[in-house]
Amino acid sequence: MSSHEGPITARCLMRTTFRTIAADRPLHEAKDYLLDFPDKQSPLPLVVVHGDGSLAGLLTPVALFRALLRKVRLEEIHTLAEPELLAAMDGQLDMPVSEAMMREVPRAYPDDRLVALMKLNSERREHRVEFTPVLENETVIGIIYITDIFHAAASLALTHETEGIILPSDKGDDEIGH
Amino acid sequence: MNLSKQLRNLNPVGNAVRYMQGDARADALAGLTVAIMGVPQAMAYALIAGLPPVYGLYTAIVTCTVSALVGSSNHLVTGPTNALCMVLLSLTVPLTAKYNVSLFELVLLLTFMTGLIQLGFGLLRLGGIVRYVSNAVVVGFTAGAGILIATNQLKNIMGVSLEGAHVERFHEVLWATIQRIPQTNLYALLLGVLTAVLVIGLPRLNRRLPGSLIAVVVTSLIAFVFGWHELSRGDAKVEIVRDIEPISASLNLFHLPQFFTEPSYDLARELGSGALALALLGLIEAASIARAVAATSGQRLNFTREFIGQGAGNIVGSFFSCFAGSGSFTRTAVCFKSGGRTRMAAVFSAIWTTLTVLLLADFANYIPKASLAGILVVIAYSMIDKHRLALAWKTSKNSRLILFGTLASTLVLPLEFAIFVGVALSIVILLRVTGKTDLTQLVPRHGGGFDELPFQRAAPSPVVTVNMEGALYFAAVEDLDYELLRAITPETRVIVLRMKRLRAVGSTAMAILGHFHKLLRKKNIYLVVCGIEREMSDVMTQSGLRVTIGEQNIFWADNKLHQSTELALSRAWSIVEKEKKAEQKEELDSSAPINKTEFTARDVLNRRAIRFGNEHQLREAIWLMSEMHKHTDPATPQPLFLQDNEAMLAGHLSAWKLIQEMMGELDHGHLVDASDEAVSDYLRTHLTTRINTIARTDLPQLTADSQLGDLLKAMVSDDDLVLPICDDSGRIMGLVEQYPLLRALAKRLDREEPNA
Repeated sequence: MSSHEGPITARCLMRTTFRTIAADRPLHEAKDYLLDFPDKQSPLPLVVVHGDGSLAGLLTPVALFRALLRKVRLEEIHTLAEPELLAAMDGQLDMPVSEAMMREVPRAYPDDRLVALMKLNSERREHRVEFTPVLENETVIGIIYITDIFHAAASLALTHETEGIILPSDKGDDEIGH
Repeated sequence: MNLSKQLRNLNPVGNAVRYMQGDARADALAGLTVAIMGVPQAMAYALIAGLPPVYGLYTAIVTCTVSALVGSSNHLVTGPTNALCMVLLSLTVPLTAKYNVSLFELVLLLTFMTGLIQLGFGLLRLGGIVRYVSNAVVVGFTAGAGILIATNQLKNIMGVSLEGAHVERFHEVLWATIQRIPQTNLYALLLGVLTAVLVIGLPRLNRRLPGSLIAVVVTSLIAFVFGWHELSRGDAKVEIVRDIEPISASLNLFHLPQFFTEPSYDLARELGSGALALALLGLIEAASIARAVAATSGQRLNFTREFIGQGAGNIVGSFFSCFAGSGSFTRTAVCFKSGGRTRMAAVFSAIWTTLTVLLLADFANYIPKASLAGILVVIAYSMIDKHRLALAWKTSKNSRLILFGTLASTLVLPLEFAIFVGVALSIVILLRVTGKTDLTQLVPRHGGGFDELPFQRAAPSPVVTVNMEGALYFAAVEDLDYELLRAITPETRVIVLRMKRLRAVGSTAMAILGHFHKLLRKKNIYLVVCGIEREMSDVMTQSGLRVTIGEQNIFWADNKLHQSTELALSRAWSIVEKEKKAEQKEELDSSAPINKTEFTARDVLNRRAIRFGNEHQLREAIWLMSEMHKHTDPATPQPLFLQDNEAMLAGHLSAWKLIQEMMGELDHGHLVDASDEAVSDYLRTHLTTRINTIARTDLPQLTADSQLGDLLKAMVSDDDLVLPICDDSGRIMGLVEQYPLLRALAKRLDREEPNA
């Protein structure tokens, strides 16, 4: 996130570190991308793009799970032994990313204000996605995590006086803060 | 005070004229009443001190006048008192032979020293000191002194002498008196008993009758008419005042104490502690009597000035043949009830007493000693406040201890020590009561809040919450560490100390808490503290306890009730789960190797969940999640897991849900271009919603043994990026997140590939 003067916009909140994958690439490649991050560092969000670089959709681990389970009846999943389940999923890894990705995703633009971003993420969609792509000329220039939108809104909503409790610092092996 | 008032006060003649026209008559009448009642009393009290009765009259004249004029109370009548006389006797008798000084000279020196100490107390402005001495000390001491007086006067009523017998203590006097019963002088006994009957009976016939005065007049007349006082009667002779020391109709009172011409510092040193006891008792008596009357009269007292008045009275008195005096309850009450308006009422009583000495000295010489003893026995009986004794017995253990401890001390110890025992008991008990850390246990209540139970009464639980209240200074914390350990049961894994209501936190307390922490760690029990105020925080930091306990186990006080406690409880339950998990793992590791091929939630369990009580408001949930997201991975936004009072998983709040709630019913387009200030104002309007009304509660039922299929199904069904994992009792023990699950799945898929 960059520091900013004036109203909070998408440009202020967006992060420019993300990965892209072409929509026609196989799913196992996307899976490797999703898991390709060093230990103790944040995973990188995966943005799916068309050949012209425009936004095609987003792929998250949950979206990938959904795709892998396409041939499995969820209500009967508990009856499957693990090898059977793995076999059923393994066959799906060759499908193109375009079939697994989430298409109906929120789209933000650099000058969108915080309230617009909040509304965008409050709208009901088929699936919930933890980051919002920021587009400029239909090209993805960054992503905004839902946590960053929430944090910005919280900082406006809570005055210093109403913050209330003071929590321990982040030293030690705290379950709460880490 | 304005100028005209000040000028008016500087005009003594004008003041005197105004006084004579106003309060003088009422004060003169009240003074007369006090003198009628007080003259026989003063003579009798001198007998208690082992002195001729005339010195009691001198004390009722000089000490009374000086103390009234210098002191603060408008109604306090100072003079001889029974309790002080008893102490005087106790202090002086053993020293007469040792220093070859007469009892009279010893009493004068003691009186001078007592006055000096009292004056010192006053000048040092220690007037407030009396409030730290329990009234129970005075009641207990007075009752004890009453028993002693009655015992000592039995011989005078019986008309026998204990001379030759070594008697100092209560039991010795009583035994010697009993042994002399066969020698009883029946005439003296008759006069003594008759006096007692008249003193008790006459006021019952008419409250205005001066029982003591009439009794001594009647008994003196009887003795005189029948010649019972004549020497020719031998052993049957009744002793009268003249036989002790004649009262002369003169006012030749001035007498320079021998100490000032032949100083004996050894004697002064030996009398020092006694003088202190006498001074304390006198001040306590005077202050408590003055306070009791002021409570009715509405006068605001200045105890410092009262102390100076008492001291001045005794110092001056010691040069005018007076013994140590103090406020007399009976004479003060009579003065007030007889309409005394100013301190001049006490001065008038002294004037009337002087007239008595001058005009009735001849008559006073014929008062039988047995009659004065009869008066004293009745007074001694009235000194035993049966009502207060019974009340103290029925009420608190502490007042019982002070009252009866002091009373017993008067009977078995020298009297000056009895006072110190009473004062020491008062102070020790005061310190015990104020310097006590009260411990109770807090148990989460179904539906929110906490129940406060007596210490050690809560049901055993892995998490024990102890509420500490009161003082935490050195006197209060002795054995606190071991006291706290009593809350531990075999189930206890974490102790939560709520320290919000503690005051006077000292370094000793920190050392004790440090030791408590050490004891707990030896038992493998964790310590979490909450409700830490600024003062406590500073002391904890300076003492190093903050580092010892660990920042993650310290929760600061908040203005919202129990918020800090709830967070501390969340922390405590996290520790419990962590421990449980570690134990389970240990069990698994130590047992026979299991051919574990199936994947379960345990393989990817992350025990770091954000837990929160489900009774909070939206504001607090937003704040907590906002704080926690500073430390968590933005790619996997953790929801806030809500738990009920028993730490059962009760729902969750995601970042999306919280944003939605902050937005409220915002219309499309509204505020989109508004300033941050306007947005801020709007967002704040939705923060008081109770989170248990908006939380998602249909959460998947997953445990550490849930298998891959269950986890995947739960995740894709509701787009849950993070799944809660509970233990068998429904308490959240950790999380399964999307990325670790994907990594584990990927490994499994890679392993399955050859068989696919």
